[in-house]
Amino acid sequence: MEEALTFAVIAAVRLLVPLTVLRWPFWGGLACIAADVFDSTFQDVVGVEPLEGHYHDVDKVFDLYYLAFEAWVARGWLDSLARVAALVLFGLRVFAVLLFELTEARWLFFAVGPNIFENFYLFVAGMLTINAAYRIPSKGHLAAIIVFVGAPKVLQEYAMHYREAQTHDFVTEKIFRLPW
Amino acid sequence: MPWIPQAEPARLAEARRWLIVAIVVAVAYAPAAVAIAMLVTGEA
Repeated sequence: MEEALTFAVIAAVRLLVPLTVLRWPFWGGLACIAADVFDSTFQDVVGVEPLEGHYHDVDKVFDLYYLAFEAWVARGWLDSLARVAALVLFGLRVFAVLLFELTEARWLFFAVGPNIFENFYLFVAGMLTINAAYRIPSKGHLAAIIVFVGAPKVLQEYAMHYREAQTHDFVTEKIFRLPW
Repeated sequence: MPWIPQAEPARLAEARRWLIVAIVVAVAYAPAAVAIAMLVTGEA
């Protein structure tokens, strides 16, 4: 019963929050990240892990779900450089997740499709929030932006998926020293 | 008529601009900083 209730709360948050992306592309994107953090924190706080320890599999579906909303918004960007780059990066991410589901090889996230899309999306959505007329000036600028937002993501995914680091535990236990 | 403080639109817009830039940088680089910390301390 507790497991079902915990999962229902998490599912409600993870399914509803991404709708905000359609109204507020940048702030909604941030809310999706907060919702992503919320699910594991909520499980820690209530001390219940739903789906008998298989929540991680569902978590990946929720992640793709909210990224799909962002891709949908990116699909409507007038700047063709930003739009095409975003959709290619989203496609790579989906491809990596599908490949992982087939092979169970976590390093694929790092090697094939690190989630550069999300950082790139937030960068462009943020710039458009500042200035609705924002356009990426050239392919050179596009490359620089992808390196700027992509390099930290590749490093993060290298630690998480190639070195299989438990980043959530490290942050909650070693950095914030949370009591749960 | 009570006095109501008015925000300065230009300064507000500037503050909002920097807030968004700071958030974009933090979201991109904070997880990488954690990853570096884990690699350096041998946790990863």
